[in-house]
Amino acid sequence: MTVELTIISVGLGVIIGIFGGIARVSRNPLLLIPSTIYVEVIRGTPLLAQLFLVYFGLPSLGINLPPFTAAVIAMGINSGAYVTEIFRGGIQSIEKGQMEAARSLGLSYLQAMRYIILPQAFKRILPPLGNEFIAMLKDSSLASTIAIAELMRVGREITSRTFRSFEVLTVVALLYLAITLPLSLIVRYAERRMSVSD
Amino acid sequence: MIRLEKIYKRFGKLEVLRGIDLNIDKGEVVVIIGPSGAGKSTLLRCINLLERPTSGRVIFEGVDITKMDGRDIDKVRERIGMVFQHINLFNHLDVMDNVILAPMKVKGLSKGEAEQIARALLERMGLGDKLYAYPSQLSGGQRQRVAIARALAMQPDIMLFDEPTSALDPEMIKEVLDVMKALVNDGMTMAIVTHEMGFAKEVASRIIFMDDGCIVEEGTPKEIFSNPKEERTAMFLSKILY
Ligand SMILES: Nc1ncnc2c1ncn2[C@@H]1O[C@H](COP(=O)(O)OP(=O)(O)O)[C@@H](O)[C@H]1O
Ligand SMILES: [Mg+2]
Repeated sequence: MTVELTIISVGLGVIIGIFGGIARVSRNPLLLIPSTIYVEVIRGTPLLAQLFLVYFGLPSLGINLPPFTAAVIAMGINSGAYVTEIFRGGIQSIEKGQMEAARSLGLSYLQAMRYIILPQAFKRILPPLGNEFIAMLKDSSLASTIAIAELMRVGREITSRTFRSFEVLTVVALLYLAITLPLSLIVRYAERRMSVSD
Repeated sequence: MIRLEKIYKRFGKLEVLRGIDLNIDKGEVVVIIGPSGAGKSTLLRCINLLERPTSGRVIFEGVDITKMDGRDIDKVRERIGMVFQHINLFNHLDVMDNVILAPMKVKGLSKGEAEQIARALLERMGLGDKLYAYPSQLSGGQRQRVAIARALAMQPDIMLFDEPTSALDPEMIKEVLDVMKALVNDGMTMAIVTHEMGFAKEVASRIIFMDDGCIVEEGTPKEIFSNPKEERTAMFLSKILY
């Protein structure tokens, strides 16, 4: 269950990450801004909060998913943010001359990405991708043992006591987000300021 | 074939090109010389719009390409080959794939057609036995010859060379210059930035001396080398010719 969950989640994460990484190095604000927000929000909030939102938030919107599917979605989106940053780093590590040579031959930006930049970036990011896979393996045991079983149990209990369980839990999750998000963004901003100076 | 009109280029506050007017006719070999930082690379890169001029016009075959965008500029770049100081071969592809990629993906040639063109070019460059080597297995001179073949495989109308031998060990310079001379003899239109003055003297139909973002002086090799009109040209030449 855990391994299966990890493989599917990271697979989803890699697909998201390829497009996310391209968007993160884009000069087009329509790609750059949403992808940056996505990465910052996901990396700035705990996975547990994200699992919460998908488990209990979606049903409150009338979308009911089996726990495994919900876990895949939550973890895939979570992993996607980290893999996006891995791809961004990989793409930016390829010398500028490679893109220029490709463009000088008449290749479009996307063709140059596809045939020249991404294949080379992919080779370079295999080690960090491996690390991401291991991290996900740890996280998915969280999802499959604590989260799916525990949260569902808690969910059922609350459901049996109140008629508005999903709304209540969604509010709790959103409150949690509202507290953690600014905090973690501040921490990340501070981290970045420090890494610039050293 | 190419006309530059009042090209200005700024990077932030730095004005790198300051009103360049330059005409390159079909079959001409224009050699651009000048001190480092003069703006020679930036000028070449404005011709194929790797760098967008801040103002001014680049006219290719009668069409103002600075007004174009996206696909149209890609179409123009197909016809302008470029060779870089840092060579920039695609490191993950072997020699053959480096050369056939653009003809296939950009021009839509079949693999067979593209390989036929590539093989002929590479054999002419003396690389017939390196078709399936990777860039990391080649010497600098071999790599630069592959890069020239890669550009020629698109059958461009003009070739731009930005210090093609500056990053090479001395014993490899000649093999690259020889390939370029063969191109000159074929009648290829070329714009070449180089510090190889002997080569410039031999192949140039016109020499442009640039300094500080401007064209200071231009003329035939004889005029520039034996009889420079401008003080700055003479100074530069006396330094570079020892
Ligand atoms: N992308 C860039 N951003 C900022 N400055 C640049 C850039 N490219 C070139 N320059 C600056 O423009 C000036 C001219 O550069 P360049 O055209 O490479 O000169 P040359 O090829 O004659 O040595 C230099 O001062 C260089 O630092
Ligand atoms: Mg230069």
